[in-house]
Amino acid sequence: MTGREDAETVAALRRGDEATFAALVRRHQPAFQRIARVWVHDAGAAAEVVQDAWLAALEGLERFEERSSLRTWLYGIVVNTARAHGRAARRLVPMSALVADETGEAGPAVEAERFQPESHHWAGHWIDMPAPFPAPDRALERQELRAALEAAIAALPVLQQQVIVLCDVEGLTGEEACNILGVASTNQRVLLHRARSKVRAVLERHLTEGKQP
Amino acid sequence: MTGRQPTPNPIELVCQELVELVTEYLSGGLSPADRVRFEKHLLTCPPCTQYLAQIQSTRALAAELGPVAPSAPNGDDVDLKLADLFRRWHHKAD
Repeated sequence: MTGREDAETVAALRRGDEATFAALVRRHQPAFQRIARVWVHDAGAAAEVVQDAWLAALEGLERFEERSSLRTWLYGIVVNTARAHGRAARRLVPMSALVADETGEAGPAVEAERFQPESHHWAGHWIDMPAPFPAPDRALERQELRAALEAAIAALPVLQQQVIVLCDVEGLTGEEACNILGVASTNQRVLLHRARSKVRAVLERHLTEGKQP
Repeated sequence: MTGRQPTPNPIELVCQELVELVTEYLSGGLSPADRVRFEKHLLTCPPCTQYLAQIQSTRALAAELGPVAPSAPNGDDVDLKLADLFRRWHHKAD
C-alpha cells in the first residue's frame, strides 16, 4: 500500500467509514492472528490480543505518522499488545534481553558432523550431498509438510519465530521487520538466519525420513 | 565435497562457511567481494547449490502457509465485535 493509500485509509477511518475499517480488518486479520500466536499460545487469549490491538490502533490513530507504512505501524501494535498481554502472568522481558539471548545462541546453521573434519584434506566440505526437497505431489503429503513447517516455526524461540513469520510467511522486508520489532538490522538478519536454518533442518528430516536406503 | 583432486584454496569459502552466509547472500547484505566468493563456490559445489535450494524451498513453503488455525470465537462473531468496536470508538471520538 502506498503512502497516499495509507493517508486515504486513515482519513476514512477518522470519518467513521465502516466499510474502510471492515476492509482493513479483512486484509490484516490473518497476520494479526499469526503475530499474536507467536507470543500468546492459547487461541482464546490470542483472539483477545487481536481485538485489543485493533482498539489500540484506533485509539492511537492520531499518532500514526507516515514515516512508516500503515501495515508496519499496525503490526508493531499487535506485537506490543501481545507482549504486554502476558505481563500479568510473568515479568515482561525487555526486547533487548530477548535479542541478546537469541542472537547469542551457540550453534551452527548445519551440524558440524555433516562436514569433513579439520584433519581431512577437504576440511569443512560436505560429507554427503544434502537431500533435495521433493515437491509433495499428494494433498496429504502437502498437508503433512505444512504441519511440519508450522510445528518447526512454533518450536523456535519467540523472536526468531516472529522474524520468520514477518519476513517469510507475511513477506515483509527485513527493514519492515526491524521497524515493527525495534531491533537493529544486523540482529534481525542473525535472527532470520537462525530461524531459517533450524526450520530447514526440520523439513529436511521430515522429507527424508524413511526414504534413506 | 569429496573426491575432487585439486588442492583446497585457503582464500576460497568452504561449505561450512557458506551455509552461515546464506541469509546475508539472499538479503543482498554481502559485500561485493564476498558475493563473488559465494557465487564462485556455488559454481563448483553441487551440495551447496542443493543447500541453497533447500533454504529457498523453505522460504517458498513459508510464504504459502495460510492463516493460522482459526481461533475461537468464529469469524462472523469477530467481524461483528470489531464493527461494534469501531462504531463505539468513532462515537467516542466525535
